[in-house]
Amino acid sequence: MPPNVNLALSENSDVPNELGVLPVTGIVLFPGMAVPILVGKDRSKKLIDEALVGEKLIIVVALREQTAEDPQPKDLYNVGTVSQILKKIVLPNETYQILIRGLKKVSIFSFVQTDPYLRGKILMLEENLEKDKETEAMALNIVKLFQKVVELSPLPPELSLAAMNVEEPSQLISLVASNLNVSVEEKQQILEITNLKQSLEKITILLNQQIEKLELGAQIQKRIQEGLSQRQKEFFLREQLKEIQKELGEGDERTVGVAELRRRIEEANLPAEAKTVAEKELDRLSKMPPAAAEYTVSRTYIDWILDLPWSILTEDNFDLERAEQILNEDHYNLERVKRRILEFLAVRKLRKESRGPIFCFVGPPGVGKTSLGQSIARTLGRKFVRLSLGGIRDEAEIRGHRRTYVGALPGRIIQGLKKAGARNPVFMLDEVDKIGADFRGDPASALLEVLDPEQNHSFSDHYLEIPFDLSKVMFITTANLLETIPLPLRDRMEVLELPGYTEEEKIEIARKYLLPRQMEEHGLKGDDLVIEDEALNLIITSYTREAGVRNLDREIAALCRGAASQIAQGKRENVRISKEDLHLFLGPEKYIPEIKARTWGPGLATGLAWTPTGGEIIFIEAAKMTGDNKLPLTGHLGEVMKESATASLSYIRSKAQQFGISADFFKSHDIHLHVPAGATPKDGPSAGVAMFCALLSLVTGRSVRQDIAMTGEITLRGDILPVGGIKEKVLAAKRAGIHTVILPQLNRKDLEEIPESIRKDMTFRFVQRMEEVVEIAFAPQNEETKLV
Amino acid sequence: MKEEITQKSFLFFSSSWEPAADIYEDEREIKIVVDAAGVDPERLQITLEGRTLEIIGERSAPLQANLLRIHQMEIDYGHFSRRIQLPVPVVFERSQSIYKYGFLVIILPKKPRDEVIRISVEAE
Repeated sequence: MPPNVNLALSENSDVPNELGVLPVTGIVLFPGMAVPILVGKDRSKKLIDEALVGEKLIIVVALREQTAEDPQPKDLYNVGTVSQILKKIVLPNETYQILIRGLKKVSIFSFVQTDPYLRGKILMLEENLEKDKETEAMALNIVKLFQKVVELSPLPPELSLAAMNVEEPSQLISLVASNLNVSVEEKQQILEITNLKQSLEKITILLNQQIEKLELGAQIQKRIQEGLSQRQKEFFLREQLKEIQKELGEGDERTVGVAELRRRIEEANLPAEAKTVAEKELDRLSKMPPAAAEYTVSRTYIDWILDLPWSILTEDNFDLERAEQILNEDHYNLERVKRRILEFLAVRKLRKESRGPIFCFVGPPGVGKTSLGQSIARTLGRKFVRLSLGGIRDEAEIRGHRRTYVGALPGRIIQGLKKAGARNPVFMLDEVDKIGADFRGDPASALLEVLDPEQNHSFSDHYLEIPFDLSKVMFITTANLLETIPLPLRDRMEVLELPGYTEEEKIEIARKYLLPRQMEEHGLKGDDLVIEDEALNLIITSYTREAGVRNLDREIAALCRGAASQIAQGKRENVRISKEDLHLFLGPEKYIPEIKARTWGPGLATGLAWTPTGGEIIFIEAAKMTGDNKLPLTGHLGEVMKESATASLSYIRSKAQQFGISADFFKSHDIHLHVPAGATPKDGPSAGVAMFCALLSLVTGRSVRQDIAMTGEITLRGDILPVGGIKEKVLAAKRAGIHTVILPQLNRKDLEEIPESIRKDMTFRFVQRMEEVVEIAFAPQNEETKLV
Repeated sequence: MKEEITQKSFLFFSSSWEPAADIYEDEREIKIVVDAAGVDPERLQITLEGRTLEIIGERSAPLQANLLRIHQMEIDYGHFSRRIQLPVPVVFERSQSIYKYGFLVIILPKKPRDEVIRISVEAE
């Protein structure tokens, strides 16, 4: 049990009231604490030596400012500690190392000597060391807090044991205050407190602050360490992975990726320019960490370069006989188109380098434009790629996005080539007439470069930025309408028209292509379903109205479904469909021939119109009423058609006398011309002849023959000019049950397009002058025929 | 050069010193040798509490009169106290202590094994 310090002091109780003063920096000596001190200054050494031969007592006082070189009384605090010198050793450099022990707090009230060392008059500080329950509790608390501080800070753990063993609260204060990491100023404050309770309070506060700081520090430390160790762990794992891979001869993930790409670049047989670019990009990639955002972009780019068929060509098959056979297998008739394709193959066979034409198949929907492209690919033995341009509005769709954009991709052309896997596929650009254009650019203009044989050997995609040779690609475009294709684009293509099919052709197509295919799709075999010719005919005339065969195909599919369900239910072994059965399967007839639906009389004439979906017959209606020579024109007519109507009327008026019309008829009458159906927009000059007939019929009161349809443009002088779409118009007339057609003389050549089977059923009347039309169209009253 | 403390973190509470001691054991005894030169043997106190032996005494500095200067002062003076944990139980009543040539030797006979007290339990 350590004896009481005060007791020790009281033993040599005669503390002189005058003692030498040792100023120290960085430390406050508390009673009861022993501290080794190095003494280097001569004046301090003298102090120590003189004190040792006497009482061995000195006053230890802290300096206010740590930096004071030659301390004067004013630099010192007023309160210090009477200390006993316990040991003295002289170090080789003449410095004294002394061990001193604090005994009692004193206050220096005056200095009696400053040279050679400070000497002061002192007064013992009376301390109130009264203990009670509260001080005991506080001391206990301090021990606990101090133990925590020791735990959290680098203080030696023995200190917490020492604190536990101290019994006197004043000694506890000395021990804790000496070891607290607080400023000299604060320690001095504690020293100067003479009331036990107050100093306990002060210590408690300081300890709590200390703990807070240390805990915060510990937390930060912990967080840093956790972060570090997580990163270290990852690092170690990666290193281990590398080692394992090295052991297995695999190399690490990234270098494997790079090596793989390098090998592919070598093997891809790229053109020099593409190879340089790919290698440069790979170089960049190999220096990038895989986590970088750019890494994927770079990687994708290299993949794209490698995936393109830079030098892959499929071999063309120029066996003309086989080609003809395939074309006939896949498509019925279309003689002119097939002939052109065979010609193309023939030229290619003779001269491989020749630049092929770019075909544009124009025709109504469902006539087989797209499948014709597939047949060509099959014939040539080339890959087939199809790209629908319908509704494309952005130039980037054709030419790609620049690589700087997030998620950038090459354009559809390059994508198509990647899909094809060869650089000479048959590339079908569908719906070229339906390209849009808006603020994002004009895709049609971008297509110009693609389709120009002079330029497309170095087609530049925004994404790739390396020219790609498109000259070996066989481009085929399709369109329903030629008019909406931009002129420069149309100019680059050889237009091949695929006109609508005749009824006979449709029957043939249904028998040879549609029915077998649909039966197979519906699981019907051989004789399971038989459709009689008459039934098929009725489907074509009364259930569909189209130039192509798409709806016919659908109706046949409906018949197959019906037959399949009957056979599957076991109601019938096989199904035979006659004309009368049709309504069971397809419901009531959907279309009734127009001609049958009309009442007839003066002021009516039958015209022929061409539409994107094939030909149609139209009726021109005229009515007269009292008025003053006005000509209202209705039926959603375009400018050209209106002018054509005005020209017709003017011609009639100019020849009024010749046609036997009274001179003042026009002065007292308005004439209204209407073309149903009113909701369909109509335009073009080809209804001129029909409008002329309707007007003449109206003013003369003679009916136009109901079994005659007509087409042709008129001039003001009564000449008749040729028009287009003859085949469709003739077919429309035939569909409508009209067998006599008036055509302009100059359209005679177009009859070649019309199959022989149709031609022999029809009567064609070629005219050059209005007078001839009048002769044919206005039959004598008694010869007027009624249609069946 | 300023006066300064050398080892800041070793500020232990200290009011006395501890003499060095050796502990020996043979078949029968534990022998403790304490370096207690200059100590008045008359004023030595040796007590045993449990297994802890405590030696308390005081060493006063000689030759203090009429000095000019103290050049070196390494020896610990003043009150001392030394506590020693005994390795085995001993019979303190039969212990001996000898002070000779500045060494304090304390001889403590070991407690024989058969002196272990046995308590027999009787069934009721």
